[in-house]
Amino acid sequence: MKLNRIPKYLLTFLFVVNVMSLGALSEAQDITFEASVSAKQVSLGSLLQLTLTVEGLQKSPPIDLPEIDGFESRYLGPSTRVSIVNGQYSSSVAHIYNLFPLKEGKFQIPSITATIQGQAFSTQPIDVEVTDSPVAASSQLGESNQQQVSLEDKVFLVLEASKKSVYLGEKISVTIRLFVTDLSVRDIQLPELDSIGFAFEEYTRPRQYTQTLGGIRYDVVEFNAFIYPTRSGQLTLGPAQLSCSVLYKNPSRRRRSPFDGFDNLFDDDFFGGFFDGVERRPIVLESSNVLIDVLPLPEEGKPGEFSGAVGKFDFSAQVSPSSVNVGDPVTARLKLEGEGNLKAIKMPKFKESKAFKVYEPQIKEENGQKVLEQVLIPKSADTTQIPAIQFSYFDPQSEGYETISRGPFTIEVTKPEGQEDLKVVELSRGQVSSIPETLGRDLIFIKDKPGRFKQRGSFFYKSMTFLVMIVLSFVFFAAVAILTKRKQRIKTDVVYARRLRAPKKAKKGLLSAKHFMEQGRQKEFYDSIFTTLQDYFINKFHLSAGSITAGILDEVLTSKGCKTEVVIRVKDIFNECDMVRYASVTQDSSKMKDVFKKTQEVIDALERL
Amino acid sequence: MRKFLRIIAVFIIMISFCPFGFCQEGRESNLTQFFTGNLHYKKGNYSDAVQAYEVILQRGLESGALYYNLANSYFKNAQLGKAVLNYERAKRLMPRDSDLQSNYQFARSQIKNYGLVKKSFWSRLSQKYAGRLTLDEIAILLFGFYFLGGIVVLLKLFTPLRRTKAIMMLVFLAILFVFHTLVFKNLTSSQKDLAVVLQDVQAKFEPIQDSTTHFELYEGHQVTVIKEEEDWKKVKRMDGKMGWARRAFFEPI
Repeated sequence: MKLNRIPKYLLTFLFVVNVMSLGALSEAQDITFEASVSAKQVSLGSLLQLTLTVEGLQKSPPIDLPEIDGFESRYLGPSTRVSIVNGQYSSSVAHIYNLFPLKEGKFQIPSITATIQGQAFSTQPIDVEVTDSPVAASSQLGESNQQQVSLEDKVFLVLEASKKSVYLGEKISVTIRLFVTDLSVRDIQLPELDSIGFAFEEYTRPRQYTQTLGGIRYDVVEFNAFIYPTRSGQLTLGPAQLSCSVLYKNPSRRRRSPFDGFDNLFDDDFFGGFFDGVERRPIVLESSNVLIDVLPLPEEGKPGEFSGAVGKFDFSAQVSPSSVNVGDPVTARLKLEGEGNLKAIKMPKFKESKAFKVYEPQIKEENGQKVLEQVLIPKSADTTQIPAIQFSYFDPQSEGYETISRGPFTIEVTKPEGQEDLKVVELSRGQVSSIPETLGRDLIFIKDKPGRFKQRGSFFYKSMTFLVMIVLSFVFFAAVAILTKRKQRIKTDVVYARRLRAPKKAKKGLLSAKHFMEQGRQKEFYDSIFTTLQDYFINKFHLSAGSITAGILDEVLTSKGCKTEVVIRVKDIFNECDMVRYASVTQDSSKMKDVFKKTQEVIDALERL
Repeated sequence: MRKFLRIIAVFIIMISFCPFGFCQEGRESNLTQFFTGNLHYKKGNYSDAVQAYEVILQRGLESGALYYNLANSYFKNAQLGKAVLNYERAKRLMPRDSDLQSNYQFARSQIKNYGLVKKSFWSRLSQKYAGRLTLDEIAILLFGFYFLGGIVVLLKLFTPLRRTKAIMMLVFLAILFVFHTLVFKNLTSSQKDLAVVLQDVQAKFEPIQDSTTHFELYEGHQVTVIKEEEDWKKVKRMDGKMGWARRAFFEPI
């Protein structure tokens, strides 16, 4: 079946190729190059669309536009159209550009040249008129301005400084304003201010309002900040730069479509604004700069502790508690507020002295205030006061130095007597503080019991007791484990069990033999000895009752590593027993004792094997 | 069986149960010294208090409360380095005492330039956990795990305890055991060489009088002693920097 299809595909393919090549070869379409615009008149703030059409090609690289006076251009992309009508194949490529008018006036889009397929082509120039926006035009009634209005008149940036002549370190208020009229602006960024030689404090919240200047109504966005000059001399502030996007209105769509006639119905501004009616164009606005003259601070009258503060300030100090014991902390709280670069100002602090031990102060800055807190500890009860502390600054208004001195602060230092109340003061949770707990906190009191004294350097884990504990428990576990194993083995292993029981039984047997011996009952004695010894061998070496012959005994014992003399002794005992039992030979008590002893020794010896 | 009994007997004889550390003679005078020190402290004579407490230490005895009181006295006497040193010693004996923790933090907050210490996650974790236990307590815990392990084995022998359960329990105990062993090792090795700076001192590149200063050490800082050579010690600061300074400026914890 597949085989049948192949010729079909082949045919279709060949047909298409033929048509294409025929189309290409038979009617080599003429190449034409044309330029057109979407409108001949455009207002500032609206876009103009320029289309360069190349007919006769399907593909064409983008064409560079020359500089067009009064406009900025942006390439949007190509658009290709192919049509086969009545056997005629035609194709065209249209390159579309957006043109943004910069100023009012009459301009000409020059002739544009391009090299296409080796040939040079050029378009006809097009005249375009740029008008001021219709809204602004109406507000300028009565003044026939022949001036050209440019984009820069509609949106611009202004930089202002509150004072142009200041002292080093003096606070300057800076305002940057963005003026917009007749245009829509979006994505306004915070302005960047070139402020070399100044310390810059961040922008406050921007304000928005409208203002009318020279008969024109503007929308204004205002940014405020403070700067402090850090160098003396002639300094340049700015320029300020602000980035934003301008919304350009797209003219009514001019699509080449068979529905061109219906365009008017949809040519409503309201709709145009929502769909592809606007284009955002980013721009960067720049203000002019401002010259600021910075005077250095005068040397005469400069106090010793002056550390560069310029402005107008209020300085206050508090010390608490005012009555303490020796060694208890006293907290000094110094507060500075006013107009000036608080961040850069060095706060005065107390220095270590014979009377006080001081700790590093903690500094907090908030809400236009700078607060320094320092802990001092009086070293003796003779201390009666905390020395005075000064803060010096330069007032640019009076053009002179001022020093504020606070203190000295009297304190009462006592030596603690008798029982002290526990002064445990932990920071309450409600205290909002970024300062670590050096304030209002005291050492918790000493312990009144020493607890158990131990040798320095001795540890429990190094002691004998510990070692013993470990060893004992190990022994305990091992013992239990082994015992259980043994029990199990006894249950399962008969041979083992018997061997284990052998000596016990032998002992019992010997005991009864002893009784017989003491009672002088010879026959029973020798019987007992014989049975005991025999049973012992049976149990210990797992032999069967009938097989106790001298020869077998010999074998077994020697194979177990028994000494020859023991073997001989065993044989002797058996012989003696036999003699009494079968031959009724009488033995005296000494002989019996002898035999008894021998048997014991034999069993002991065999147990030790 | 006989063999076992013999071994046990030998051990029991070998053992002289010495209760660790009790020094019976002179116990009375130790208490007196302690209370004398307390009295001096209450009167505000901090240097006298220090002396009284130090007498006990010189006898070779110590206790958590003793170090705590001593540290308090040093602190009130404006000797921050010695105070921090003795708080550290107290911490090793009674790590969970809240008074001690509070005062220790207070004293530490007074140390100049006390920055954060770069520590690995593992050492921070083990410090936090181990910081709440004394060495002895950890040793007891280790013994406990080992003992429990033995119990588990016994249970397995005598009760119908399932094999898998027994193994799980043993594994769990083993993990605890290993963890605590590591913590133990960490503590013993790290605690060995720690010292506290007694006075502000400059740590130099070489153990020579006029050598260049590498960095500053402030009273109350903690360092690790790396090497000792004659009058000098080579110490490592918490952030890893190493330098030489005279031994008089340090005291081991």
